[in-house]
Amino acid sequence: MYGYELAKTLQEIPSLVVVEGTIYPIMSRLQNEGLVTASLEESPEGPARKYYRLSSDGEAVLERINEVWDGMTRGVNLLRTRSK
Amino acid sequence: MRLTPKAQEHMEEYVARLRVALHGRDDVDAADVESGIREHVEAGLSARSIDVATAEDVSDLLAGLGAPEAMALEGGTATADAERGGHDSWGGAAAALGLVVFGLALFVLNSPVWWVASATGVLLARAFLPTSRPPRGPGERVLLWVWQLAVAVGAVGALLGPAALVWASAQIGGVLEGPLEAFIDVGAGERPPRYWAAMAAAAGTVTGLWWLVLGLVLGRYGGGACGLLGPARRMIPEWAARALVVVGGLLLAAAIVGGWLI
Repeated sequence: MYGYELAKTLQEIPSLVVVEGTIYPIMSRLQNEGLVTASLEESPEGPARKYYRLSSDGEAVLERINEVWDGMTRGVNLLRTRSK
Repeated sequence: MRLTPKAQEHMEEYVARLRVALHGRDDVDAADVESGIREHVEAGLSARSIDVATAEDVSDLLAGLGAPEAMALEGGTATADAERGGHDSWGGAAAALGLVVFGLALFVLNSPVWWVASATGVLLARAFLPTSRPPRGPGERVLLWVWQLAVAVGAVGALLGPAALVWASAQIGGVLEGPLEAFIDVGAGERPPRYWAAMAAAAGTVTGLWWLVLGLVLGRYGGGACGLLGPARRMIPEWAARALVVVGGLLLAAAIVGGWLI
């Protein structure tokens, strides 16, 4: 995805508050940490655009984050069930 | 797709604030963020099928991005550093201003090296200002205004500008004096009114043509020519070019009238 597309995609998610501009420093930091790669690709609508993709390290971190998130939601749901 | 001059100005002001806000962040590549922002605006204008973007179009997209200062506060360990934002170089900017004033004092005292101090001061300010944290308090805001307008125009323009403006007239005037005396048939050293009218017409013609050339060059290449002036450079080419073209035209007209009266 390129930056503008990423910003618009995040904005479409209900209840997710995103300031569009923060995407760019975040992407820069993720590139520096080796979790994201960027490449310039030709665009039919104008100048070349920078497309962001997860690197293999990024994929591994995402998998770990998903595991932690799934574990957390399971734990919260269990707590909610027991508290009823 | 292109931006109007006002739209481009909005864009450059936003980017300048962004550079200041991101200064000191080691975890973020400021140039990369800047190119991302520019690309975002281009993509936004393209999505709206805008061929000529006005200042309102660009402002709307930039508002969606949020304030550059807030962007720089984006999470992580850099938060505190970003809030301090930029090295505390307002002392440096003040010292650079002091150098320029010192150079002006040397000029008044007829020192041949006055331009070294003034030029060094302007270059140092050019280096300090884009990387300084945002001004705090009225004192630093006034200092920023002084640099952005007054020093660039006053110190550089007031001293170097007239030198450039009258250079051609001074050179040609020295050459024309003898031929003019012969042309209007006066003896050497005689200075009747028609001599002065002829000199004024010649000086007006030469100066007017020279200023027209300067104005056209500044208008076309003013951005590069005024790169030394830092934040004020956007103002100088536009207004200097207009002023020079208008005044040059007036001088030429005066020269034509003066020549007709001789």
